[in-house]
Amino acid sequence: MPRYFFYLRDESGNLQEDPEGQEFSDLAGAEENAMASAKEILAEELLRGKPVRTGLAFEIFDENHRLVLHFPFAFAAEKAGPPP
Amino acid sequence: MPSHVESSYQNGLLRRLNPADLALLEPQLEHVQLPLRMMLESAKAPIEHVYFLETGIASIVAKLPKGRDTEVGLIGREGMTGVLVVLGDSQALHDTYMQIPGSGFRLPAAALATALSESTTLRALFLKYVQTLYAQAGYTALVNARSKLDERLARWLLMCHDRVSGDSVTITHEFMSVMLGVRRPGVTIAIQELEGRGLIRATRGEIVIRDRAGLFLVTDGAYSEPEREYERLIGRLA
Repeated sequence: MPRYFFYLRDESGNLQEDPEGQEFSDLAGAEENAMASAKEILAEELLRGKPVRTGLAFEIFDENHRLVLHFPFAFAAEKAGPPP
Repeated sequence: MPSHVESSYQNGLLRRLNPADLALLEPQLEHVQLPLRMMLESAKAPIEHVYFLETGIASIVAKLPKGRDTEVGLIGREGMTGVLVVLGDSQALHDTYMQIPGSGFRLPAAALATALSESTTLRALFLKYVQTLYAQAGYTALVNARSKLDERLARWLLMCHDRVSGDSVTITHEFMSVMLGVRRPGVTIAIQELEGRGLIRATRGEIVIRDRAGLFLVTDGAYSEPEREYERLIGRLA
């Protein structure tokens, strides 16, 4: 299974790397995980009394360091998707 | 048995056995390597061996359908697997597997059952350990229900730190996500946050504890009660 790396772009434009990555059957699987993970992270922030960080985004890279998906957390705040 | 041999055990239970009880177990104790992901018990299957860890950490992991696994017990050199054997059963309830590789001693479950029936002091010590694991599971339930991810992560790192030599915990984010019951990107963010506050240093596959007292503050009360129970019932945890 291919490995995808979930880099995180924060509100100030800083990119945090994901040295480990995670395996999915395909990009659709990685995107589903991005949706569920973003929902979980947003929910966790809310539970800690913080505002929703819709300015975050996943930048998902494949094993060849190619950017394959940009996933704004705003999608996860506005759209239904797989639950965490 | 010469006392220097007894004290050579790193395992907190074997080390505290009196010579007579140790003599009951030692003929069947076998030193084994415990590689990452090695299954020590499988849910609903008979328990073949109980394991006394010398190094490494094992997790008792409960499962819901669709892969929603979460850790319900953490065992290192302070303890043993097979507490249900101590309670008189022979079948596992959950999976138990190595999440940090190490080594230890294993004993056939039947041999433990026989030894327990022969020695009240052996039974008393191992039952105290069962009680500490019960306390740990209770607090794990509490924090899973009431503590935030960063608090739970800090608690979990302290629990691992208690069970390793030195300040380095060798573990992937993927594994931590199972242990904490959240998806991996959430773990990565929580780790980066603790790292940003100078409490840990994280590299691929390794977390170095830099500020134990600081991590303790992050737990906001989620760490220390089960650890105190271990010290009260058995002795020093580390």
